[in-house]
Amino acid sequence: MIGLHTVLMRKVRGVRVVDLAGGAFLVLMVLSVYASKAGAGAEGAKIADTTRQIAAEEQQVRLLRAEHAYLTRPDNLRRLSTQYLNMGPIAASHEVTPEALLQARQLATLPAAAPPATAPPAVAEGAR
Amino acid sequence: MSPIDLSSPYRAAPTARQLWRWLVEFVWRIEHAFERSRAKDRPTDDARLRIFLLLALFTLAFCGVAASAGRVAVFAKTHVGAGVSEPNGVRATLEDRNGLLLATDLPSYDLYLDPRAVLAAHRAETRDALLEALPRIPAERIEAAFASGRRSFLVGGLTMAEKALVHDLGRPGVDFEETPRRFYPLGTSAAHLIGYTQTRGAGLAGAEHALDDEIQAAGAAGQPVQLSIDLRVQAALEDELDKAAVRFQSPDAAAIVVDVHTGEILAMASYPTFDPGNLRAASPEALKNHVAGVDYEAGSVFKVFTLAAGLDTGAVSPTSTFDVSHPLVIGSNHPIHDFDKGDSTLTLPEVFTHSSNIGASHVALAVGGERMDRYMRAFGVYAAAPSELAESTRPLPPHRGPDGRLDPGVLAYMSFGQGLSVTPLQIATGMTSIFNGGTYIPLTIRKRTGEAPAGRRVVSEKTAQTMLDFMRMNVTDPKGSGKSAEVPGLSVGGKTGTAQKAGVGGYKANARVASFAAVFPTAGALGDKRYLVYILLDEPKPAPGTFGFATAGFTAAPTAGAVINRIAPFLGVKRAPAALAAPLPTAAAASPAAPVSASMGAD
Repeated sequence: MIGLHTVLMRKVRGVRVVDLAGGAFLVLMVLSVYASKAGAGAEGAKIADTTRQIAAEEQQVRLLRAEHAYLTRPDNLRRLSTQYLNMGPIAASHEVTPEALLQARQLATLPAAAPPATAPPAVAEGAR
Repeated sequence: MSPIDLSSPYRAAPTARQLWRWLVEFVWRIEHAFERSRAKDRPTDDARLRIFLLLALFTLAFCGVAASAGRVAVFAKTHVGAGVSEPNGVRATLEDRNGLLLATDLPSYDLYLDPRAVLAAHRAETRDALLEALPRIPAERIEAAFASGRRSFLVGGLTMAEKALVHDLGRPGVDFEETPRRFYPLGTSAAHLIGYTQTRGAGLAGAEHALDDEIQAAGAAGQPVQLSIDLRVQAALEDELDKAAVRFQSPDAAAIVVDVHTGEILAMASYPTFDPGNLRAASPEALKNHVAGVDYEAGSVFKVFTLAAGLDTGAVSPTSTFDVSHPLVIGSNHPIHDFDKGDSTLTLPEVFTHSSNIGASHVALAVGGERMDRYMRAFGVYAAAPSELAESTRPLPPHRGPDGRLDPGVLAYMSFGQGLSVTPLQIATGMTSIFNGGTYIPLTIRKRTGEAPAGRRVVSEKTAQTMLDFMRMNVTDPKGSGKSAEVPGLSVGGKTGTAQKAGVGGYKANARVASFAAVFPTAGALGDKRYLVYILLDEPKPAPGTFGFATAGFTAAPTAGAVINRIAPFLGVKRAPAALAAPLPTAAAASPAAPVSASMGAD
């Protein structure tokens, strides 16, 4: 301890070593704060840039979602499905249970079975 | 000597003139110092002094710069995410109950022109380029902007693509301002329920107005607001209502679908309608919400309330009989007639299914004015429907005597829905309170996330069950007025209503309001999934296939049946297996819209 004290109390060109060490430490701390701030600033800029990108993407998503909703609006789908696919609301008579389908198939395979009703293929309204 | 006397006891602030004189004298003193050095034949001192002074000046300047830079670098605050604007003032996206988009804010741009940045020689070129890129800019507005000599608005509502098009022209003096704009992608669908906003601000109608604060708050939090409607149900309801209004030439019509247990409005349609994105093209009639904002005399659908009150008070029972062989005359009022079906005595269920005005009047008279008043108030008939919608209008109540009581004549008329006017929303709210098991709950346009509100009991469960049975009977009975609403396998129940419209000096002869209140499925326990569909057609006219009639049995009832047939799968209501047992039946055998001659003349 005495040795360290002696070293620190030594003077270089009239300035004590302990003062020089303290000064150097102070400069080091200032520099480290400066470096940290500069690093944080750079990261902040990156975050800001990413946030801007997210906002732009969100804007784009909102726009695409609105466009999708516009194109798939019910009246538009109804018009297109009627015009190009001859689709329409499903009639109750076109709904059958799986058991009934099986029964219909069995009836169709019988020799004297009546011809099946000429109903258009069922279309699901859920497609609208 | 310094021009400023610092030894003076009174030190007035030096003036600029004094400071200038002091600086000039200081420079001259230095210059004389150089001269003195030369005079003493020591020119090296002269050069050293000049170098020292320059060095001192530069050192001072650099120290100042270093200190400032250090202070900024070390002590300035670092803003994470600085430069990113917050979406303040943006309204939340509106969605249906399944998350489908109903309304959203999109960026929109206003176009401005600053003529001071455009050379006179380039003005014609700028005008032509702008008009070519965006033909909807009024040419005279560009000329007016050039003539004004200051930055002027040209056109608003530019999309991102339009903005890019104009921006790419690279014209000086042309710039943009971003403004959020409400976009309604569905056009006319659910327009009255969604509503609309001011150009840059608060909601003005529908949910946009009713839930304004909630929409603003959710917008700030980046969350959507979900409404109770189901877009699939809404589309089917609107389509069928439009078709009916066109077929029966109704000037206006209204329809609503409600979940009777939660009170959620699943669809609401008003005819004619409008596009909230293009309000300028909308007529005042189209802007009107005929479900919540217009009062109608509802007609015989009111018999649901009358009979429910009669059963609940015990004044009548399903086995009670009524003489309907002669018109009923009360005081000096007009005689009350039934549609002639050759009836003389009717039981209570027959009063309902034959839609007997005389029978309903007898029920109301048996209940009495005071108790009928209490029940009608409990059903919400005397007050505006307590929905969030600001459009919800107060009813036109029945006429009362000087003592505030209902005259027996008025009571009899009220029993079959004449003499008072209510909104379809009120009818739907009142019906809901019966068919959910007897609990009154306000209808809502919000999607309910938790349990439905407790509500208040208005009729007993027994009464509710009996009324459900009556409703079903009215559709299945050969003389039932609601036969044309039948849908295979969905146990639809319903009540027709055909009311004469009031005019100057009394009721008009050939102007009616036709309505149908349907509930499905009527089968099952009281707590089972159940929905109410209410259709109203104003002044319907006979159409091919209605045998010259335009009563509710031929107009509103088949419309309700068609709606139910389409929406049942979306609501998860399965047809009874018996209805699907026959393999591949023909379409004609089960058409819900087929006219039924047995219900001719029924109201």
